[in-house]
Amino acid sequence: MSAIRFDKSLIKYFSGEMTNTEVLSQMCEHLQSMGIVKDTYKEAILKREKIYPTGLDCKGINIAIPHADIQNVNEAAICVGVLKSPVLFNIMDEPDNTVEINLVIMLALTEAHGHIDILNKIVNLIQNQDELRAILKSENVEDIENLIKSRILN
Amino acid sequence: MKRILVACGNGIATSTVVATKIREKCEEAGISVTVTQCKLLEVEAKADDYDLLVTTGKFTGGSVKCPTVGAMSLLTGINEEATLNEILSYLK
Repeated sequence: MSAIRFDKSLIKYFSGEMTNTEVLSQMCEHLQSMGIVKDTYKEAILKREKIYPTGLDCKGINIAIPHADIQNVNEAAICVGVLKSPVLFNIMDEPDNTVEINLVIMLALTEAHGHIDILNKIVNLIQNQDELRAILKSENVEDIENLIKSRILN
Repeated sequence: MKRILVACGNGIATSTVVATKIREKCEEAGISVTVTQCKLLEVEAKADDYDLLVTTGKFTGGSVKCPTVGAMSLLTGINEEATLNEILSYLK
């Protein structure tokens, strides 16, 4: 299994009123500035979000999982956006409806059908409202880093 | 051997999770399956070769002959078991 990069430099906080396009753009630009994704990644993410949105209505803390085709990515990584004020995203299976998203887990993937272990762990985290609440309540970036690492990189 | 097509927006992330869960569930139930992943855009061209289509995300790509199950619950965890059982019901 290939390694996937994640540390506190890949956690971004957002506050105030923002659109999902603004949040996604800033996260993509961050990944691009670190050399993790190519300059085509942002456009791929934004285009995909319009056609096949990535908001998940988990009936509590809600998560979006934007990702793009592997040819846009240099290095496998996860970028986490913590939204202090929820941001509306369209819902994956109901694209005409929106849901308030609290956490964005952006996936930069390099294998088309790989990363199975880490994807399963991310989905397990998405299904654990208590853990998600703890992440959102964390006072500092190290706590979030440790919580997420312990759940998906162990 | 039943053939299942699992489709999502890019065909790489959520379909990987859903395909894994379906394989595990079928193994538990003793049902032999092959599971293939694709993009939602590719579904109409491919679905005729399959016994069941499972999607995350809304499939609007046209009509397919095989039964279709939406599998968002396998991501959110809400009613996951019911969806897995519905999938199994088409494979027996």
